[in-house]
Amino acid sequence: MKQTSINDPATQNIIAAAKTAIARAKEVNKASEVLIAKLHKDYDEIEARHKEIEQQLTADVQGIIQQMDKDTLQFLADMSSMGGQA
Amino acid sequence: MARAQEQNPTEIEVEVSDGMIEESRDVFEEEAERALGGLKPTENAGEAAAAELDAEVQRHLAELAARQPRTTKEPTELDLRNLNDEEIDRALEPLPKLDIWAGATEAEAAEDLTGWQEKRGVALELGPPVVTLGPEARPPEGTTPEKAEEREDPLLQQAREITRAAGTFPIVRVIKELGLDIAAAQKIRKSLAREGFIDARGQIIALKGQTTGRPTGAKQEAAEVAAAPPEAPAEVIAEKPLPPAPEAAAPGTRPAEQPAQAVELRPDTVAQLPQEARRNYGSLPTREKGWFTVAREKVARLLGRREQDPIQAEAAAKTYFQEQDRLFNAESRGLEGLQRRHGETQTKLQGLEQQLDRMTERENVAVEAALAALAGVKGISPQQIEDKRRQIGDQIRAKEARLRSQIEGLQALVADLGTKIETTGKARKRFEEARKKARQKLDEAVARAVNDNHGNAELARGGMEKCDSKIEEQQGVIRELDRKIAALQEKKQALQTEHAGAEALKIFDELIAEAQGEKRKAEETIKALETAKSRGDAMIGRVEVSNEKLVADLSIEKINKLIQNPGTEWIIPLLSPEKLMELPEKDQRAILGNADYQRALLPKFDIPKNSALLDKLIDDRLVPSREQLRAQGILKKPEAPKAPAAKAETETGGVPETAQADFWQTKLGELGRERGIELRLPTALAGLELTGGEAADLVYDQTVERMERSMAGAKLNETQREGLLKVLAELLRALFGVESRATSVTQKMHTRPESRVKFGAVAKDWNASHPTQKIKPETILAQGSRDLSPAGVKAKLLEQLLQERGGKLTPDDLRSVSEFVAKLEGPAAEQPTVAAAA
Repeated sequence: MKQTSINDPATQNIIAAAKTAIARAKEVNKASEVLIAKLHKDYDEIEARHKEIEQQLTADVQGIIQQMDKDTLQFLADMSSMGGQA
Repeated sequence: MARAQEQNPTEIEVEVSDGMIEESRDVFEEEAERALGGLKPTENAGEAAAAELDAEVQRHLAELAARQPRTTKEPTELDLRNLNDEEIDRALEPLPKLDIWAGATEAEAAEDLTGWQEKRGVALELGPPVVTLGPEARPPEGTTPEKAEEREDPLLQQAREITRAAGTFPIVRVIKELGLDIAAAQKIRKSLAREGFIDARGQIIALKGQTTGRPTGAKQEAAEVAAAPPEAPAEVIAEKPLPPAPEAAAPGTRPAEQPAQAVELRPDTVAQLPQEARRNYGSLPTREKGWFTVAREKVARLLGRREQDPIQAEAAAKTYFQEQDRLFNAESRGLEGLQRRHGETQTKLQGLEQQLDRMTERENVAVEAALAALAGVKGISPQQIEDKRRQIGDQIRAKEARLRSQIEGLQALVADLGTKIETTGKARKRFEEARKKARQKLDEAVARAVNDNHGNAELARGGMEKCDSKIEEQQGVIRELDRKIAALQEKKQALQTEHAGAEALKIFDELIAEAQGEKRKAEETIKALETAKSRGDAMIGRVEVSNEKLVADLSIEKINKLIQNPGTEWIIPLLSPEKLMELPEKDQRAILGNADYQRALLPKFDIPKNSALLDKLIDDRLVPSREQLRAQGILKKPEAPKAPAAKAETETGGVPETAQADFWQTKLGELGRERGIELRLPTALAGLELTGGEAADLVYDQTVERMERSMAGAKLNETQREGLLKVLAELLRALFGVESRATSVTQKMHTRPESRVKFGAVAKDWNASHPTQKIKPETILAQGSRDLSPAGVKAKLLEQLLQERGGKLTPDDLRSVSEFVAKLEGPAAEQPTVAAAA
């Protein structure tokens, strides 16, 4: 029966394959970490933008309502000035 | 032609061949008798006199016939031919102009008005007195009369006079046509407005110390003048200037805290308002409020409640449009009424003119006929008859002149009304334009927000996809490491068996430890990726809910534009059933012909309140039948009878499909209190209509946020979120039932066959029924795996067992795994409840 040796090719292959897998895992883990950090950063930015959109829309609508206030008051004033003497 | 016939010397019967005398006798008999009363009959009336009278009658009738289609100026020209010198002079005299000094007291003005009326011989209903502007205006008493052109600034001088008049006349209007050309009148108007005396409509601004925002000096002066006359009549009504529009609220402030600007309407203005508006005004608790203020306050309340929520602000705008619609419709009805009155007055005027012509003709004919009849009566000389004719003619002309004056007055009023209608029509058009513009602006603002939101959601979706692929990659790495670790362990075991050196074994130990370390790191990374993914998921959910609500309020015109645009067709799945139904049928057909859109849109029709809309689509053959849609999986299949336990849980007293956020909040509050957890919807949602699913989503987000805030900003990890979901699952199930609408939370909880909850429940049952378990399904959850499909679970379990058994599986292992997976795939009725999982 053949003795297993640390130096035999099969063993060396296992070791090499394990080292490759570990190296690959390190790479992927690192890349994931980078991705996670980037995602959170992106999400932070998206949330900030979403808030901005909401604020902008709120401000836009308020502006529109103010203008509508003016238009309506002007309309009311114009219509109220109608005479009723005929 | 008139013809008289004597039948009895003591009685006179008058007959006119054309029937006109007969017709008019009732009217003019009395006058004719009175006119003839002073005459005494004579025996011998000469043939010549009779012929002369007859000729006179003929001539007069010819003249009257020629006057039939005349204008109002013609009578004056015509009358001149028959008038004596005095009458001609009077006719040529220009009609007296109402000339009241602007600084006159009310009594003086009334005196002038009476004199003028007497001079004209009529009492015209001209309404309130007017102020004459022009060179004729009298200077103030005690001052030297100046000619207008000699004054330093005549326009300004007149402006001041107008202001003074404001204190003494019930209503003061600036009229430009009296003595001034249009440009001069406009100049006056501008000067007055600039000095703060009148507003844009020419109305005197009331001066009860109100803040007008106009020049202080002029305001002060005007106020003093207004306050000066002690006998200032009560009719001088203070009309406040247009209230300033509310200032733009800074973020976080509450515009509702600003007092609503009241528009105080004058009684005469109120009297002119359309009935509905008048009723509204009258029903207000205090006259301090204009009826329009009600609409403003409603909007203010909405705005005050909206906090930072654009949905609420947008809803406020929508409400405002509705309020404006009501206002506009009420005013339009007023305008229609005015137009009707105008038409009626014009008709009346024409009728009066015709009546006057007829009356004049009838009078003349009647008189001539009577005179002709008298010609044969004894004792009446031709001269007497001629004198009487002249006398009666004068009376008729005077009467005609009176009537003409009245007609002129009426014409002036018709013209005034016409001008007002025109002005009002313009105002109405301006308002329509303004509304259109506001609607467009709102559409643009909303569309911009929706578009930006969509962009954000797309970015978040991109991130989630990256997460998915990275998770997959990490799982591959873990599998690879597992295999390598197993190989290393096997080899190490062989070396140990063969008594290899410690150095060799150490190499293996180090490699195995390193691989296991990387594996652990990979597992943690997967969890972190899952967390990031959940964050993106929640973000997309929020944005989509927000976008759906915003799209629901876009105008159909804007939606039409967006769906036709290849860059914004993504808006289609966001359409509400109502909006979809508003689209032209060809667009509906095009949209619903697309399977993806069908899948996105039709489930929204699958609720009771939209059932009729779906029926219409089916009737119009825009979509297949309900059965086919169910078979295609587009609509939900009818609910299977629930297991008794589950049924009992869902019997919560008829939870509606949609309800106001307040309703959900009450329910959530009760449930939360029972279970010792605070469940709260965002306060900004108060008043909004939500489905149970939407409420569930929002509660989840709100709870996560609150918990994270309480953890000083730290993020909940997946296990904590999982725990929270489980608790919420139970609560939401009790509240909304298992068949809640598919939203992110309820999807997680109830609708996805591979859901964690379901998996957890099956695993729990499995553990309970297999005390000597060989497989550990819960570890799959602990690893944070997202792939909980039967195939994924099977692979995971086998992998787990392989690792435990050192690469060798027994038939018993395989049987256990198959059995567990079968349970996971089992029919819904056999599945454990969510409550059991929690």
